[in-house]
Amino acid sequence: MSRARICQGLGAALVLACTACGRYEQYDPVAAETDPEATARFAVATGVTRYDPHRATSSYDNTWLFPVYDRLIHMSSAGDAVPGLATGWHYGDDGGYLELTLRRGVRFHDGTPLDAAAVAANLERAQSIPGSAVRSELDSIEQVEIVDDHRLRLHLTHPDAALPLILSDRAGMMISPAAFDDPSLDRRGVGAGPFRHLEFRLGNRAVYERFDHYWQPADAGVRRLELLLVPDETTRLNAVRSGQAEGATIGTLQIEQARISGLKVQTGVGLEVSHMQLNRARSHFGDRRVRQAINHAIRREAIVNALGLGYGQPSVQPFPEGYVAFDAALGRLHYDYDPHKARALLAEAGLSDGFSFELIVPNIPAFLPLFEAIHAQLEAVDIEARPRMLEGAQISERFYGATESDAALVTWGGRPDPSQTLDLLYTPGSLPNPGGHSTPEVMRLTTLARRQIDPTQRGVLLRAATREVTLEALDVVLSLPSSTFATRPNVDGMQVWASGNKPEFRGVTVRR
Amino acid sequence: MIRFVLQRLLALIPLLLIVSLLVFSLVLLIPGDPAFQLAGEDATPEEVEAIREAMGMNDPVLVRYLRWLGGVLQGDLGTSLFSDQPVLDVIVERLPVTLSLALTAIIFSLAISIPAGVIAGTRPGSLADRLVTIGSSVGLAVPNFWLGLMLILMLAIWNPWFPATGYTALGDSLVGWWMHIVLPAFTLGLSASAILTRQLRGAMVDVMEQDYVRTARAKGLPYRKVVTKHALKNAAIPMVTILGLQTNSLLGGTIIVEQIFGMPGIGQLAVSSVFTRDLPMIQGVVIMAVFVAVLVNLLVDLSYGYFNPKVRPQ
Repeated sequence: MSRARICQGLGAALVLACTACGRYEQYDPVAAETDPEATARFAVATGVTRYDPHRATSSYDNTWLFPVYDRLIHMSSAGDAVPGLATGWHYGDDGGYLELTLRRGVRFHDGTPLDAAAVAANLERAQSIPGSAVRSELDSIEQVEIVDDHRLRLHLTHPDAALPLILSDRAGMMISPAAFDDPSLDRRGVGAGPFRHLEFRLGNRAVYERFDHYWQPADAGVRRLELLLVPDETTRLNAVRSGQAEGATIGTLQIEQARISGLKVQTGVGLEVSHMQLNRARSHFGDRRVRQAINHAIRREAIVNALGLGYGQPSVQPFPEGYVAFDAALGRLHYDYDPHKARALLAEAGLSDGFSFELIVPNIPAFLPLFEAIHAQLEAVDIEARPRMLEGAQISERFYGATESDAALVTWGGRPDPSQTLDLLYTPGSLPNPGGHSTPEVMRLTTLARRQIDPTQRGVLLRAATREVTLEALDVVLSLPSSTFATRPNVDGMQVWASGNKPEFRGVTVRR
Repeated sequence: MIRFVLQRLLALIPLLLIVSLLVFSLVLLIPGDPAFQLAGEDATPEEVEAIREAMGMNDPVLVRYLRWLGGVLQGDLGTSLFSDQPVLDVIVERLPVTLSLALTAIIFSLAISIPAGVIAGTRPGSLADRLVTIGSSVGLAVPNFWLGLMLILMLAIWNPWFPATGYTALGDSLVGWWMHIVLPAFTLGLSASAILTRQLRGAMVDVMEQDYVRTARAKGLPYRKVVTKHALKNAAIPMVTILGLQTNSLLGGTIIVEQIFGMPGIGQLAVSSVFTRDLPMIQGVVIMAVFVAVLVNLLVDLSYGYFNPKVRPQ
């Protein structure tokens, strides 16, 4: 080959590369009519542990379970209990029972009627099946009484005001009783949700098809829904940009990139909490003044602005602003950034020379800059956070199980009812509270909030409990992180629910 | 020849037994207790312990190994801790993705390296040789995760000619499969093609200076025949050895490439199983990878006999 031909070839390759770099797909934003036969493919970061909702162990399983399984009660995007399979509910006998009235004419995907007997069978199974992950949530139910075909009473050992929202989660997902003993239930869900489950490939994808007899037809806006497991967030965004998926969960740092690409972005704060969780039975964390000092040493707004590009809510409370358990009087930033006050509190606690503690940091990229920021801010008040890098799977074992580290930078996935979060994180006896430390007042208020069935009085108690948790500085809440979804321009109806990064696909439609 | 193959296959048995012990032990060394994953986020310590007991995780390691090995010898690699799916079924479902990716990458790398290596090796010092050398250096230096992302950006997003992610099975659509496999296979195969090109170039330079090549040319054989029949066949032996090693590293490379291109292969399965501590699945994937590696090495050994009659078993 002559030199001239080689040069020509190189030139052609260069032109091709430049052409490639110069072109950019322009999305046509012109609205078209909704396509009821469309397929919506959605890429998510976390897979499902199993399709049996009573034995599924992660709250992030909900994304995969929501399309198949309808719940007795739904949760609105604001976090309130709204009718689902149960059209109404009320407490009787001063909280001695919770009566549910069921929607009529509902059937499971296999044709089995969804009546009071089916609901009773589900609740009994959830309480008794070996390996149940929801048993403790239904502890208060002593007996299930079938009043008639569409009414049942849950007799309670004590008033349990959290139950309606608990029934909006996996504990309230209804499985067809005919599938209870089906060994393939872990891989093929049979529920009464807006979509029927067609296919599941472990660690890969699930395919659903619209259930034409769903009681709320508008919820199933597409003929086919596919969930794709794509752990890498760049790959997820690329899938949407190139049209291999109609939507994806993305990180806040990808928001601008998604917008520049012409994608729609939905972002909002749910019930997830980014916090530096303390083992209050270790280090100096049993001393309230030390915990308050740490809270004063953290510059939350800077963290959210710099690391989350302003998306998210800097807060010292474990609930978002405006939520029923959020104490507005205390405000989001009760512990303002004040290193002098932090030093004074440390001196008061006899730690004027500072101290050091071991901090577990998940070894995933998003947490490293967060740790660096926290480390620098604590160092400014002579507190040294010694990092211990661990994988997510090890954190449960080492921090919660073996309780062998002083603190951990983690994200709490949130729970449907605020009393669950208060109970699990701040009262003794649960795995998510390593060390089991609490205060009598927090325990008293949390118990009362759990048992108070009057919504107004319950709200007062929940806010009082949150206030106590905050004033006692039982936690170092950093922010309420933002959940973000990117969708193609022709996708409508995608929204951030209170559950945050566990999207529901109700009402999602695709235009032609 | 058949006896030679049988001998090699029999020799694999003790090797695989040793490997099985190593695999089992190494997986046990991975920190992280799967019982915590299985118990769920709100479990009590008692529930975690009950799961550990039920799973037999409190049994002595030797008992657990023998139990697992007994299953493996009967073709039962266990079941996933989470979905209760047989490990073998999941691997068999994923294997075609990874194999088609690795095989296409090998074909790409051969398609690039054989002509490039021959051209450069038969004209040492020429402009073509220098360009091939520079090209192979660049191919070696470019990390596949960067190359993959660049290809996606240029050929899937800016110019939507290829899909950016996903996979279509060969049986579902030949065109769909091809469109999905091109970018990841090129990403995976580029560095292998660079290594093979350099190997072949060096071997060709050596071979072309051998007496028998000079004799063949002196006999008046056409140059093309001298190169392809005499020189290339002999120069191919070191290349085949490297190809065998590269095949194994390509299988390892699929882990990254499958992540970048969102392909549901063995690599992605391995990563997700490690994150969830699905121990039977990890063990199954590693055993399968070892088996493939050993098989490839056997094929490489057998190929020596084709290229060089002197090493054929008598």
